[in-house]
Amino acid sequence: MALQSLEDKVKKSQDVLKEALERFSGHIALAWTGGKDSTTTLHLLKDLCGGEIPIPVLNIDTSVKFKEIYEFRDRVAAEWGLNLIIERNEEALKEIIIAADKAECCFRLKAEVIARAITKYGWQALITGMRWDEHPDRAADEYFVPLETPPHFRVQPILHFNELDIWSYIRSRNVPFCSLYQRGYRSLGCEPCTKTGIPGRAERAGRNQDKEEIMKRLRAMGYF
Amino acid sequence: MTPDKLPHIILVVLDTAAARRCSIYGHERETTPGLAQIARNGTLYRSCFATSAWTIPSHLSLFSGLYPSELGLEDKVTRVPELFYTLPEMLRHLGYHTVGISCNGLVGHQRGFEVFFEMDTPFFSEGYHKDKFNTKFIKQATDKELGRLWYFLKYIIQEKRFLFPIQNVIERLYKKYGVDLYEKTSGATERTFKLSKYLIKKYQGQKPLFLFVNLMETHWKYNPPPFYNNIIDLSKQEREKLYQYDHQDFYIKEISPEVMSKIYLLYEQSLYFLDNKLLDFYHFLEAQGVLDKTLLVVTSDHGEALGEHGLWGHIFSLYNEILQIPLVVKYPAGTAAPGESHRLAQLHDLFATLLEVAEAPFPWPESSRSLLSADRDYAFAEHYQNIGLAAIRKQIPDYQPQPFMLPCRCVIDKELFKLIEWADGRLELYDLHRDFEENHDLSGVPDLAPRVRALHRAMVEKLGTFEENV
Repeated sequence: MALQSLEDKVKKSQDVLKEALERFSGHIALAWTGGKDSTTTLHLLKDLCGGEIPIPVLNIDTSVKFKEIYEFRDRVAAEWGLNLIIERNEEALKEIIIAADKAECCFRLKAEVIARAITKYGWQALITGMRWDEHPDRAADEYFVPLETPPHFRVQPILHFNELDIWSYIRSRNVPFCSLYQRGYRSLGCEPCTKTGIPGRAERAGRNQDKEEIMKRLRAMGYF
Repeated sequence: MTPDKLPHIILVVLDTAAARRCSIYGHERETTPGLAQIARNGTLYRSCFATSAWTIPSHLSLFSGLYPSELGLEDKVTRVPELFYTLPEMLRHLGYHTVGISCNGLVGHQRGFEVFFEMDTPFFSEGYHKDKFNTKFIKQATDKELGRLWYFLKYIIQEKRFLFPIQNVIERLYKKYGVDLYEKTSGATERTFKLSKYLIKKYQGQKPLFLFVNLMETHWKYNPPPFYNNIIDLSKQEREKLYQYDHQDFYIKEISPEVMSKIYLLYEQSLYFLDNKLLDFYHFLEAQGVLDKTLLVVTSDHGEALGEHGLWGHIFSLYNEILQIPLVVKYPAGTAAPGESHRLAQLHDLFATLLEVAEAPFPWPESSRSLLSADRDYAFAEHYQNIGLAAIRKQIPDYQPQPFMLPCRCVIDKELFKLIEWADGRLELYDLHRDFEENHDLSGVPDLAPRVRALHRAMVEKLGTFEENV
């Protein structure tokens, strides 16, 4: 049955989170970018667990995010007492020119970092804030998706949220959000690749168009 | 708010309507009796300013809630960049059926409109205009004509839109021989209101409607129907003589004062005609019984200089004849008491206002201040792209610009002190309470130096330095 109300959707998300925590107890983390979707996911988990976040929170630092995102990340991490793990690819930052080759840049600074973190910490599952309506490539995704490199499950508890649900949730629970949204931004990416575009594309298209075209390939590599 | 409780939102932009030429704002000739009637049941905002001097940046501000420089606009950008939310997409998320109707070729589809009518068309069906939009991007898909034809045919067959190609050919012929939105504005205006009425009837009780309308009657070339002649009565031949001129000619050709005064009166006649049609539309809303559940906004994207400061048009400067715009808002019943407001308001404040009325959970930019919330401290406007000078230089390539032709920007504070900054570093300060016509530059008055500094600081804090923007 289709989920109609926000509360139904919240319950469904928390059921998915609950199942994930049980299945992968002690071997699961949550990937948090500081954007509205992953912050909503983080808050859903916090709410489910009585105000605590009982698992590590992974933040991928490409080094070129907007300063407002870093400020938001650090503030929320402190206020919510997160076990925040910040990972970045120092080697790649020395080797590549940021955004020169978009695919390589995303792969080295994001996908590779996620894969390394999963292996390093022995996680069997990673929770993300992906949504079905965000991009056509994501429309067929499932709540639990097995991935191979490295072997782990991707857990996607807010797939059924749409953009309005996200903001309704944020408003109804007073969830903090990055100040860039109060400057009109609808989707937050890395600063060098966040540029103006043309109409008629999906929400994520505010980020770099070239990158979107290779989205599929990057997702296969572990990027979300 | 559930969709069945949402009010209709009708946003009417009277393109290039200057507040100071409206009788409701004190103009000596009666040009806007209709607007005055609408304002009796709504709120008249006395101090509303555009964010720019011309169509594209102003409309993009309206649709995004941001100042032009915050949008990072480059030449030829006519859409709100993907990076930012648009008003129609937010309203669509809430359950609105979002429709745009534009008589201005520079105001086209924005992200979030389910259907957008460009009024150089003989067709009113939503399906036809959706087809037009859906096939618009085919030309970007491939450089090869055969490839484009293949995509086009594929669309026709897949979507079963077999009538579309025939309609498209008819529309092309109509555009070529039957319509010119700049010279035959009154026909487009009539068709726009007819279509608006049709849409309101169609969606009444079905779905909340967000209807954006742009009307070009007060944009050059001013061309009201000949039987509207209470302000100026000109024969067709006399009008044709006036139409040989364009804004840039005013600065490089000898046009007699008599000719210019006829042009100025023709502007007012156009405004009167438009006002008349607007009132008729308002009466229609009344007759349909939808006014109490409708948020109706009447405003403009910028004004028009008609001789003030030695200017004609809206291609140079940010003086008040260009910057001050009419704003009348008829709120849904129970939202705000009718009356006059002297608060400092801007065109893009409508972004936040409309979202607040619709109880949207989305965040809106701090640059847009809901008219139902606390007053803004400052209003800003920007005019960096030198469209006027470029037009002149098409005729005289080595034309040396006059000081008022330079890019500029301005800030106005709550006490209505206005500071204009020009590209060459000049500053002008005006006390709009005492001198709304901006005849007395106070920037050199020693006692006002702190005011100049404070205004300039506020402008740099908000918009960055001038150099960063040009």
